[in-house]
Amino acid sequence: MPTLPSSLSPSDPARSPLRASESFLHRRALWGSFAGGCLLIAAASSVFVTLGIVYVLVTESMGFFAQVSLLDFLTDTQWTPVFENAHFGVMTLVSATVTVAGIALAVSIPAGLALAIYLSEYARREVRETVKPCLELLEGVPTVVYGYFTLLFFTPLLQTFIPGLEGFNMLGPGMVMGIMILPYTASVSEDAMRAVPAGLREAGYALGYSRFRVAMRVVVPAAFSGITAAFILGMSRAVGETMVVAIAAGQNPNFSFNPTEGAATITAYIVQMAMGDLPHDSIAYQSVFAAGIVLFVITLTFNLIGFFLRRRFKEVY
Amino acid sequence: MTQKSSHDPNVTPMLPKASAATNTERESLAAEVRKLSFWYGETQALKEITLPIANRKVTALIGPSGCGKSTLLRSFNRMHDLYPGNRYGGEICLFPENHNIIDLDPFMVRLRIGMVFQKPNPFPKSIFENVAAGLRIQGVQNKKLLGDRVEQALRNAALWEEVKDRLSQSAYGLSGGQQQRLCIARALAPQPEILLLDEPTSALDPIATAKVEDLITEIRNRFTVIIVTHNMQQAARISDFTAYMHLGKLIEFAPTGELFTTPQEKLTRDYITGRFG
Repeated sequence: MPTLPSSLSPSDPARSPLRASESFLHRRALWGSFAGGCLLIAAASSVFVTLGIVYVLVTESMGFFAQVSLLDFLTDTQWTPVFENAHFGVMTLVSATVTVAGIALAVSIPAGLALAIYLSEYARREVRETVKPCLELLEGVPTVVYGYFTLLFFTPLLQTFIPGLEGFNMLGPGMVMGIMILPYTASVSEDAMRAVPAGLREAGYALGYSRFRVAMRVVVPAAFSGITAAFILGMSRAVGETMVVAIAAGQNPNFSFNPTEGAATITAYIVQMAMGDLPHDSIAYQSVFAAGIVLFVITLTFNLIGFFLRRRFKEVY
Repeated sequence: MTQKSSHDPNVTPMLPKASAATNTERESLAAEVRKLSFWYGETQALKEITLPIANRKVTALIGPSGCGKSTLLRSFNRMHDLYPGNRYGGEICLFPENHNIIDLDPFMVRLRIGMVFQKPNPFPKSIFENVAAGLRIQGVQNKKLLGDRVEQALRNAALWEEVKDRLSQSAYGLSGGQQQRLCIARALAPQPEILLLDEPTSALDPIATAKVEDLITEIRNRFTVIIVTHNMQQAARISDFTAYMHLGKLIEFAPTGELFTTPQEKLTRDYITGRFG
């Protein structure tokens, strides 16, 4: 059997002049488990907060569903919690939420995709590095500013084109929200497109593809999961957005999908109730939590759809 | 035709002296590089390269890293135009028209000259759609014809038997070697006049490499192939002509057997005997 030269033998103390002491190793192990524990608590806290929110939503709305049947809640077309003859048809609020979010996406998907394709595939580096920070700046504008911008400037502007448009309506807030979520949709999809390897683009060009064809047939499909994530993020944001709709879409629950009418969304209703002083155990108070659960379920559904879409189109470069 | 006469090698006496090819030889050329220079910004990567490309033969470009062989290859389909700051000088003449590739519309050039890259880069589509991609852009719409051409290309790339039952599945389900052969099929499907291979086996294991080499040998009499390779044995095995490049210059060009057995230049000799590289 060949033997190692003695200078390479592992037991040679000369090979490990910096050999650690026992106490150092002990302290290091202790510190390691302490740091690991702290990080675990940090990671677990997000789970606990989510579970806590679900717990509060469910317990508070139990009292509500003890008095209002689920069937009425889902089929009634009026929402009048503080009236003498109270109705709790949550679809009234859902209709407005869906309409506004739908308009926002109808604006944001084409605008966001066009912007992302331009920035990723067409723009020169200097242009991209100027436009992208400006785009991300939109994110920093307080939503209350968007709300008053819609109410005082954008809706009057729209009224000059659309004569029947009410002062409070769903069209204006929806369109402004579409612009408001551009930082999510355009910027995140642009990141996804730029992450597509150059080799894939070159493969397209080498076949004689035009720039536009490379963008549409190669880059967008390859970045599909990232683009989906971008629009799911934007959608969740649009559904959960409060100030713009509370200010500019009105606070009148109205079962309608007509964008020229005003209507209260789920979030607008919740904020309206939060500003009044309702008795703690009244049914109107509990209705806030029931509406909250619906909101929670809607955003959860979108996130799940996004999750499965992403898994299905997961790119393997 | 009369308008093109200035491009016709039979009437114009303005051919560069560097071109040694006679008219009969030129008929058997697919292309000819004439005093081609290339700059990445301020850096000159190619210095007055002159090189004939024989029709329906395999021409190998070898040389140490940074010698400009990939740069030269990527000039043939104008890939450098995708990035700003690049500049060409000189000509690459594409026969039979004798048009200068550097002056043509790059998108038109790429319809005639196919390319396979170092890393397999299939599109995020089905196997069938990957191969059909180049045909669709050439205007092939007839389903029957499309199917036939895809099958033929996959057979040419020695991949048909392995994928014929899963043409509609994603190309990403294939192994690395299969993906590279798929990329070759994608490049072959539109029947390019010249096929450029940029170190096509450098990311593959020995068995996949052997399969790709076999397929190049298989198609060598039907397509004009230019291959860049780091592997001298590969160049010796599969090519008809070999060009040795060094620091942006063409040092030596000869039939492969001659270049490897009786190199005329000291640099070539040193490289192929492994003294540097």
